[in-house]
Amino acid sequence: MKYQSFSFLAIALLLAGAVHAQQRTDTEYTRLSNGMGVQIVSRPSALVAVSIRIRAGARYEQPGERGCAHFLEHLLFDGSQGYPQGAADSAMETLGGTLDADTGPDFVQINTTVPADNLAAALGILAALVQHPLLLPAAVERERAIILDELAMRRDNPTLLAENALYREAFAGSAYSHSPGGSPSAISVRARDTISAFYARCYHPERTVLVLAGSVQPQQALQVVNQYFGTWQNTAPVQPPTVHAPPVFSAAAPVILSSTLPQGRAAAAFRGPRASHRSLAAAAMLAAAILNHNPDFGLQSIPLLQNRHPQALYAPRLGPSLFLITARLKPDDTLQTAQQVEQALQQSVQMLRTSMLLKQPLIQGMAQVLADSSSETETDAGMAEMWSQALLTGGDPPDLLNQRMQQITEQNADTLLANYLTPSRACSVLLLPAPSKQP
Amino acid sequence: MTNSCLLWALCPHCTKQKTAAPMLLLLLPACLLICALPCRAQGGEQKVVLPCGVRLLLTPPQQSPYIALCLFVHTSPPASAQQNAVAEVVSRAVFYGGSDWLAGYSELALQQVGGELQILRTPHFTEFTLLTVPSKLNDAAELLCEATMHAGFSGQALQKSVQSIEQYRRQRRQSSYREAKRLLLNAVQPFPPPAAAQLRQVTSQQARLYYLHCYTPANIVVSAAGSYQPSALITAFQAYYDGFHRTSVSPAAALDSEFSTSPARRLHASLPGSAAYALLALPAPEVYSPNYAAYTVLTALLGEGHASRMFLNLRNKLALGYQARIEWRPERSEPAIALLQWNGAQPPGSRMQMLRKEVESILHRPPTQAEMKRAEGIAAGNFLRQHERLQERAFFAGWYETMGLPPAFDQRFPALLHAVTAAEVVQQAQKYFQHLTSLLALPASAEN
Repeated sequence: MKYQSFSFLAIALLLAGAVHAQQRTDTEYTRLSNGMGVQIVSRPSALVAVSIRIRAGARYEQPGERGCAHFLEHLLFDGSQGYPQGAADSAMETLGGTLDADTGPDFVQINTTVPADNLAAALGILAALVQHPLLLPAAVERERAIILDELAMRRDNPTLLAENALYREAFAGSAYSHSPGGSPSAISVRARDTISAFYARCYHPERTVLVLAGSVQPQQALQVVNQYFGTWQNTAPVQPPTVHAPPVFSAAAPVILSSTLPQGRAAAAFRGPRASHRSLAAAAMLAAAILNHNPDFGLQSIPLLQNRHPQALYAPRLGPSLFLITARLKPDDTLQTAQQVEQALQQSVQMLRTSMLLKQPLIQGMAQVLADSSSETETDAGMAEMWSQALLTGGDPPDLLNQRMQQITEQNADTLLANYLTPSRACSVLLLPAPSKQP
Repeated sequence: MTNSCLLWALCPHCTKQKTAAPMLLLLLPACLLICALPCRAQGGEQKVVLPCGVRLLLTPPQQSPYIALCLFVHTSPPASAQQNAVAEVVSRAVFYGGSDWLAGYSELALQQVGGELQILRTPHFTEFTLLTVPSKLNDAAELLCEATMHAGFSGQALQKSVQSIEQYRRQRRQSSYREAKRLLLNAVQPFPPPAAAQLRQVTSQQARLYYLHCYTPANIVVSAAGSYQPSALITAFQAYYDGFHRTSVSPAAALDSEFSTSPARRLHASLPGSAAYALLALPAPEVYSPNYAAYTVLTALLGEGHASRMFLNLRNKLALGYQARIEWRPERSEPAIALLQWNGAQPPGSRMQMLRKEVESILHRPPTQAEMKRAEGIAAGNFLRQHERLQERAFFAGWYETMGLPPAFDQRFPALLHAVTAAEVVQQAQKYFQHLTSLLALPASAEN
């Protein structure tokens, strides 16, 4: 009838020592002759997960291309060579997997997990999708309607709305200011030729990594990968990496927005380190874990934030990102209360100055990050995704993250607090809830 | 069977030559000291019956940062709304006091043990999942044993239990889909989750009587997975369950309750948020039913994946970015839920009829061979993915044992799925899709 989860302290700090005892895995990285990276992570399993990640996220959209990354992701599944509309999904599901995809600011990723015996056939389907999409005009119109509906659904998510508003504010003028899903106005007008040009420019073997995780024999698997992906060629010149400036926080006062939802959000954003700054990225993950879970120094220790589900969010990116702290606003909250909540969020980082220098919260925070990482990599799909993310962002793969977490120094914490999580360099948003209606 | 099977000569699941039986029998007294009958089923779990009657299922240990312990208490479906309320309160109150030791120990111990405690109550069992680290295994075992053996039910413990249930429900209601699903399930379940007022009426005596009747060794199954030493786990539970002697009638398998024959109802609701939902409750068999595999394929064919009938004929044709699928949680003994979700700014029109028509399409448009192969494939793949995590492996092993399934059910089930025929799938629809209760939930703003 129901599952109840008591909210107890995070996984015991002993995890920090136990993490070394994780399941035995063997890893091997190869670069195919066309430049595509292949990472194989072998471990006991009945399954094998495939994660293909391409540097073709929204940040690579040029003016006039907004929404192309997400649009193209949809079109990959709506007809490719040998797989007319719906056939790729049907074929993959017959093999025991499902085709899933996601478009982010940096990447598009395509994932599936199949019983180990079906790996070769699954790779054949994925190769067709990525290398030979048909991009038919009828498919463009079909997917346009679906994406517009998807975007409408996202308006139900206040955290996402607040997050988008903060990125708009902090990265004004750069590609990171746009929501990776695209806006309804952009999706409505995007033409097939524009999408096709984006494909030609960004879907390139040198911009791609493929990760296999699970029950896989490296040599055999590499042969199959070569068979399906080794001949992939793209003669378009490889684009130089896009460089994004750090966020700029110009507005002193919070941006105030109105919502049609019964719940609103107060959200504060600080500068977050990029993934390739590995020690700082690890320190930022640790800071988020302390804020989220520590009963004495975390967000829940601030009376005003209790029962508002406060949350610190940090997801390392290829470029600079934001360290976000959010809390719920209730229908009956006045503007003054909302502003007090926002100030409490800003001030919460002050507690990190104390807690990141104390042993107990530090070790508990580390244990929490390691437990989260361990939980993620427990499934083959999670392991494959973490590896592909690390390979394309320059961040730590799972095993190195575990080691790095245990080597965070006071200096790392100091740098994070002095240069990133600084209240004077922050911006905030108040997404005010719709007023409650009397019955 | 492996070397760890101390009494393999006596074990009905072991097939190895039994030439060494006499020698092993000499070890019998020593083995009876721990009085456990371990054997390895084909699926890999080792089953040990403690002297008190509690069954331990030990999935093969593997290196991991943690251990998952799932304790099942097999119960009969409630006979009345009051009994349902008592069972609900007891499932949480066991951790809120009783003996002096437990009263002061639970919350502190849980923090020390770390991880989290989850509680699931269905008509057939109450289940506690405890995630812990290897060095805290003893504490975790002691906590579970004390809660199931020595719990007491003071007024304060009952009050805390009710508060915890209410807090949990408040959190769930913040999702409009969950709220819609709850309203639908409440309408079709014989005993929906008791209201707060019913929970508060539960007395200490009622709780204690229920506890003594149901929380008995013969009804308890403990399943473990992760990084642990089987012998240490057996020893711990053996020690903490020492003196656990409580008898009661074993719960009967409720074959007749496997699907509701209540008349179909058409419900309406208005919810916060901007999404609209059409939901259909599809009565479903229990896991021990001979129909279980065919019904699993039926739900996959209609509503699992991006090439299911619902996805192709509803989501794609209506150009929805939202969901069109079937959600089924058989471990909760819930009906399957056929779900169509859309942007609530658009009028519902005939969407409920379209959903119903697609679900019932199976009755007059039998599955093609390609549809069957796809449905069997995705159902088998989903089954494997559901058993990937340690916690899931521990849970499902315990669930199969509690529900009386044969050993190695999980090993055989994918083959059962692939053996299902199109005719069997149609038979399931004919049997279960006769009385479908529906719920149309629209955003409150749209209703206004």
